[in-house]
Amino acid sequence: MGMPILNAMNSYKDLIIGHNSHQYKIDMNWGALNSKFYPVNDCHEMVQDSKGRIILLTNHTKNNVIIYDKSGKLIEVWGTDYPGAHGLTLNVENGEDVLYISDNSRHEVIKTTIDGKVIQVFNYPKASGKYASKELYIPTETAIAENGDVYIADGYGEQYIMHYNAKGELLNTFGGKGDEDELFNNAHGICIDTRNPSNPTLLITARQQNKLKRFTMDGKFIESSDLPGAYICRPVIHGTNVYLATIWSGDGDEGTGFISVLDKDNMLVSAPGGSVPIYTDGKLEHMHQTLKVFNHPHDVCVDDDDNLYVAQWNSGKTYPIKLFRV
Amino acid sequence: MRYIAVFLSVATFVSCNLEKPSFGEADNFQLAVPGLKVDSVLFKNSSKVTMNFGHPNSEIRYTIDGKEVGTDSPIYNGPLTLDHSATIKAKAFHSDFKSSEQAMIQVTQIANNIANASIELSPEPHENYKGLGATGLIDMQKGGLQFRSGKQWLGFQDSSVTITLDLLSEMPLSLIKVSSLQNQGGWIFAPKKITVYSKSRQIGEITLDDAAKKQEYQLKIISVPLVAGNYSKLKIVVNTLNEIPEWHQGKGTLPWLFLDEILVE
Repeated sequence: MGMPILNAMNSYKDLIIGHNSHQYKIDMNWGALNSKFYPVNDCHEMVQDSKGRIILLTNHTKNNVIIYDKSGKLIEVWGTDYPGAHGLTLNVENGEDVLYISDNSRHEVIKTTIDGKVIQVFNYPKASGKYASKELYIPTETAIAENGDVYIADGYGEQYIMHYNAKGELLNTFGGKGDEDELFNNAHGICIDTRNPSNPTLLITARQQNKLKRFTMDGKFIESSDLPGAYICRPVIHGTNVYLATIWSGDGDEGTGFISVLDKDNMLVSAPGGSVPIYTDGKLEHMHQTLKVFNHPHDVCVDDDDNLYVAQWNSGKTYPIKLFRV
Repeated sequence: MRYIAVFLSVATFVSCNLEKPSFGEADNFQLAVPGLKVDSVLFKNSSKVTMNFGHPNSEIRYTIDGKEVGTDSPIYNGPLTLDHSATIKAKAFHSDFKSSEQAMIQVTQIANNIANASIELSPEPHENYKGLGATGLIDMQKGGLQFRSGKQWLGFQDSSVTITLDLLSEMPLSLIKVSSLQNQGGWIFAPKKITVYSKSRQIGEITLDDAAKKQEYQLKIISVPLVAGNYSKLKIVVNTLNEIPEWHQGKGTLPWLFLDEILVE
């Protein structure tokens, strides 16, 4: 009589993914909604607002923005004008949450209130002299500095990083296409690393190069962290860690994504869904997917409980997944 | 009866806690395909096979005889050295998870290694797909289906490509093989005709009648029989279709030609 009970117990073994300090149980159905009413195409990015709500950006123009509570309950939706909705950054300005939406199809970045009123539009950076036409500019992500300066990464276009002041005047352009340290192949994501408050820097992903690159705020290359086999989308700072959705791994095959968690020195400490991170002589061994939990993670949002929300690109129009830290 | 009670209590617990997340169970998840690499898909003496899978307490099982991998197949515990052509298959296993899909790779023993020959190309490959240049065609390294990654593929946007091969000394030959890629969705078509000359005399020719037909994405090795003889210098002329056929969205334009290796036997 003991055997069946053992088997029954066995079938309730929760999946735990990740390594070392960052391990998670997973709720695959956290954000599932009725797709007849609230459809998604690609779930591109997610952020948490000041009220603790979880905001998802999708390129479905029936509802570009879907707002959940932390339990996955739908609160509201808005947005029908963002066919290429890709990058979503939240910034608090004069005590108010504002959003910066990078739109691949509109070739511009739109700043809105938290409920979707347009405040400002950053057109294609003609003044940079780098762009013969608007279509060559395909912004993927933004980062907003303490002083209100706005950085825009042209990750699907010419690979430049545009630096504006808060008024939208172009101050500087750096980066561009190439394999050298200061250049990019798919400058997909950007954030401001405030972990050293006295010396903020920019962290920018070079996704095809499997590298996270650090620059000064005025665009000088400082250093690169190599993450071989990890096609990292955008860096997200939370506490002393950097979290990065990793859309492909290994040789870059379809459906091989996982999540990367870096420590204070930008070393990989945990790879939920991926191989155990091992450093040999300071070099990370080539990373690959080990469990088919994710298809193509495109962004990770870390909430105030240290739990994660994962939005996925090209993954059968599925809704976000939640990871509970254990 | 006892385990029915367990189910009932779990069901009650879940229904009373709608806010509580339902966690994914381990045995609903499948392992990813293990890494399977060879140092050379084409080899003269031997090929080294390595496998890896970075999940603790899992194992990789494999076969080298083309059979499906099962729970009784040998466990991988270090690199294998193969001295014959083989099909290697591998799968990852772990007691908590569904076993992985099967990884597969073929290795082929070749008759002659001509890596030391001198080779010239006319015209040069396209700027975007230069690979390793002409010598990449005789380096015994094959490209994969992912023609954009790696350095093995040479891409041409020309209707005729001439490869001049100097084997440095005479070799008895009766066959050459031209390895090409067919990816019609990517506007890459197999060659239409390959002609081989030695000292201005034609010694072999093959026409591919199906080059313009709709065909699947594949690596295509084209064999060109030669008039048997001793040869040291060969001129290989690869001709593409004049234009992409009617049924294709790129109709009327010149197709791409992708080559990665020339073999002689």
